[in-house]
This record gives sequence, C-alpha cells and structure tokens, in this order.
Amino acid sequence: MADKKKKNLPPEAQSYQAFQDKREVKRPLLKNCIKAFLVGGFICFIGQIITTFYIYYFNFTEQTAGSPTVATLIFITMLLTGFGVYDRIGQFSGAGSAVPVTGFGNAVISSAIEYRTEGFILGVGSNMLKLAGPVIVYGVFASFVVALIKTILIKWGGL
Amino acid sequence: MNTFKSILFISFALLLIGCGPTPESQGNNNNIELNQISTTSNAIDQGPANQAKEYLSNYEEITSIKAVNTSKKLMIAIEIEHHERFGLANFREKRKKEMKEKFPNMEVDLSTDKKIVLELDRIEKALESESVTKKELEKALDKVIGLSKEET
Repeated sequence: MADKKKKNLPPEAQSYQAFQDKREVKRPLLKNCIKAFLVGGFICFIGQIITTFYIYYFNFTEQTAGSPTVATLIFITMLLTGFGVYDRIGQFSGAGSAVPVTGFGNAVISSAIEYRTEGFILGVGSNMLKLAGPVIVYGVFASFVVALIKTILIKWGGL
Repeated sequence: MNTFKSILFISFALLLIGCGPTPESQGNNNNIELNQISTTSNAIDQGPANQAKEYLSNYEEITSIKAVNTSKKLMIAIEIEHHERFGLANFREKRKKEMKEKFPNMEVDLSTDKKIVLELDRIEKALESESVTKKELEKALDKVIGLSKEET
C-alpha cells in the first residue's frame, strides 16, 4: 500500500498496519536474488551451448547464430510450458526465469494455452499478447527514446 | 534493505571493474596459437598471411591467429583473451586499420568471429596437406568472406 494512502487511514487501521508490519514474514531477498541469478544464468548457459552448436555444425557466425538460438529456446520453452514444468521453474526462481527470452515465450504460450477453449480467433488470437503486449510496447518505446538520445548526442553533442 | 544495498554496491563495483579501460600492450607473446603455412608448393603463396600473423603475434591480447590469402584477398581471424573482449569492437577496428595500411594492394578483412576462425583453420589445414587447388582456395575464401559479412 502506498504511504500516501496509509496516512488517510483511520487510527484503528493504522495501528493494525503497525501490528501487521511487525509480524509479517520477511521476504528472503538475498536468497531470491541468488536463486534468480543462478537459474537465469543457467538458462543463458543453455543458450550459449545452443549458439556454439549452431556455429560449429551449421553455417552460422556469432553474428547470425542469435536468431536460431532464440527460436530454439522458445521452442523448448513451449514444450516445458505445455507439460507444466516451466511454471515450477518460475515458482522457484522468480525473475531468473522471467527475464531471459524464455520468460517472454512462456508469457505468450501460457496465455495461448489458457484461452484455447474460447476458440482460435477470439480466444488464442486476441488474448495471446495480453501479458506480452506491454513488454513489446515499452520495449519499442524505450528503444525509440534511447535511439533519439543517441541521435541527438551524435548530431549535436559531438560524440 | 541492507542486503539490497550491499547487493547493489557489489554489482556496481563489479560493473566498474569490468568496464575499466585495458591498456594495449605490445610485447612478445609466447603462448599464441599460430602456425606458419609452408610456402613451398602451395597453390597460392601464403606470404602475406604469414606476414600478418607475424605482425599480429606481437599483441599480448591475441590468443590465436588464422590467416589465408589469395592473390587479391587476405582474410584474418583472431581470438583474444576473454577479459579483453570488453573492448572487442574497438580492438578489432584498430587492428583492421593497421592491416589495411600494411597491405594496401589487397582486400584485407579481419574478423573476431569464432566461425571465421574455424573456417580459416579448415582452409589452412587443407593448404598444409596440399589438397586444394588455386580455384578451390579462391572459392572457399570467398565463401568465408561472404559469411563474415552476413548480419542477420
């Protein structure tokens, strides 16, 4: 709850808030960070193995191996999401499984599976990007802003 | 909150350590992986490639050099120490410029891509075993140069 709202609460509610704050179970922040770091790192490690595999056995360079790697990782995520494994990984590692591309894949795929019962067009089609939509919107917007700043710095900042 | 602050501090410190500028040192590099291609009865004289290797081996950061040339083109691939990869693009551009100045009559290209290193290694081995003709070499090198130019 925001601090502004807390000030407007009646005294009983405020005293309860204080009472609850004392007894609330603390989040294991450091433990969560370590878990996220290790699992996220492990996902990236698998990604690196896939990239290296493509470089050694196919005609991909370090520059071009990125796209098939992402596609492969999303395909693996699709299978794990479908079999209900990925949400357990997410439960355990939190941001560690949400931040890499697999988390994005999971967000799209799980929505698609969930709304399958409502049909392909109005169910899957319209609800698939419900969760991933904001990521795309703010991703594109943020990159636009950064590009704008970079352009200004290069044109007039003499970088 | 304290743990959060300490994590933030540690990660920031690591970031600062990682992004520090690294001086480019020149000296004798003994543990470098390069083999001169014998220029006796090869399809095309590999003199320029060997010269390039000789010159680049003075850089301490470089761990392996592969180079192959035809009569008009020279392709070099280098690998550098892992912690030096922070300044990879900068290092590559500088060495590429040097190589272009050193071989003004040739089309010089320098790459740090692992794939190019592997492909040039394959061509070098074929040259060593003298199982490649002039035409095949030119074709193979063109393919590698094309590969290094790919962006997507």
